[in-house]
Amino acid sequence: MSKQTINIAITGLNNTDNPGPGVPVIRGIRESQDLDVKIIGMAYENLEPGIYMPGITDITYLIPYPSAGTKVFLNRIMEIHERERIDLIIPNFDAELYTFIKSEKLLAQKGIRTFLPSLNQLEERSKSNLPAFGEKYGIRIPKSREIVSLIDIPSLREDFDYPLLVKGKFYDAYLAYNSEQVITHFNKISAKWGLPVIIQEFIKGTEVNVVALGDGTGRTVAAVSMRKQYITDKGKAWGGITIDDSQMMEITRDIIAKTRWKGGMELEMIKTSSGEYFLIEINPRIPAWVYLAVGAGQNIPEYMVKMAMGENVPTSQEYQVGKMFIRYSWDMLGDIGQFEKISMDGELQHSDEF
Amino acid sequence: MRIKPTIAINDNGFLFDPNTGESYTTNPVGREIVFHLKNGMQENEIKEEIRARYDVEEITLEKNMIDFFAMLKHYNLSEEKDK
Repeated sequence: MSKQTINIAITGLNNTDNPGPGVPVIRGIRESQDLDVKIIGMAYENLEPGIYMPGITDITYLIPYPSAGTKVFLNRIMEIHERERIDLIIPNFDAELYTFIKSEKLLAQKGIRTFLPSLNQLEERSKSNLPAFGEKYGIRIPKSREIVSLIDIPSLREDFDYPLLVKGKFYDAYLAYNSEQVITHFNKISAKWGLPVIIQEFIKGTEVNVVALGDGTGRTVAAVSMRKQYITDKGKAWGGITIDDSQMMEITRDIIAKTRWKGGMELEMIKTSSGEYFLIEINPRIPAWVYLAVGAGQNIPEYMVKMAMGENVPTSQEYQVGKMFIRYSWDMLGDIGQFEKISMDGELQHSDEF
Repeated sequence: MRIKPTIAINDNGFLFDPNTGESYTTNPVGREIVFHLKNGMQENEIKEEIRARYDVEEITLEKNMIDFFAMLKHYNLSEEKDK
């Protein structure tokens, strides 16, 4: 008996030096022995590499940024749905999650499933709410403060020692050694991501991360921890290795149990030389390094698809320690015809010719 | 002292700490010392073993072993035996 094909729409095809998780999520799903899928890529820019990469999407559509307005955004999703009968959408950007979560019911009415945290869960762990999150759930968080104006910068000396971190509400983090550098980073970040800008205490130590999946009842379905071995100037992992850190796993399971987290998440933590853990960020989605977890034995994208489709997925606890990933750049050749198609028609059917 | 039980070392002298993801390399003599520690040998027993196998003055060996043990401790690869 042939399996029913699941049509999955996925964003985050920007496999650049600041990669979105779309391509590794798709690789995980495609490697599943149990799933038969059609992958519908949804791209914001016509040069996102995932549009052109062989074996990734079956077809890709351009979509407007959520900042164009929810109505415009959803109209385009519905247009694609009419043609593709989307069963499941996996959004992979922080900035689009709000729109998808708010539209969850509407999408469900149209037969489109999602597997996302609630709006409350999303907001609770936001960078600006992280100190309150830490207090509520008993997790150590670096001291942080929101600023909305350059006027706030001189008074930072009262609460923080330099260096400190200047962070955008969605992305970007820069280390500043004096108030002049804070001003530069504030201007750069606020122009790109808006306000507030978050000032965070700098904790010296090793950055360790966990990718995890919660089922919404408090159960951690899967979790893999990783240490970044090679970090780009944008702070992204260019290489990493799976580690066996029982304390991090305990923190992860505890957070998922207490928050009843639903969906993928990434915990970013700093482990100090004295063995203390500070939670610096929770990303409310699968991270771009998730393929490492797939390779180490936990196919988190596959589990997520199965749970979204109503299957019961058992808890995975084992994974291979010492599994590594190293990113690389590769010049892929394309044809102007492909670029023309995605630019003019807003869609590109993948073909083996390319 | 002893090597933490989680530390893996292979015949090439490549050490891997699965708790931190850090890896280290050591020369053949260092590898021997780590193997001996993993097998539960005492520090003075290791010293005797190395002296018997290599042409080395006691003072030189002593100094190098102190340095090597300090390095193992610094990188969190060793722990005291009563742990």
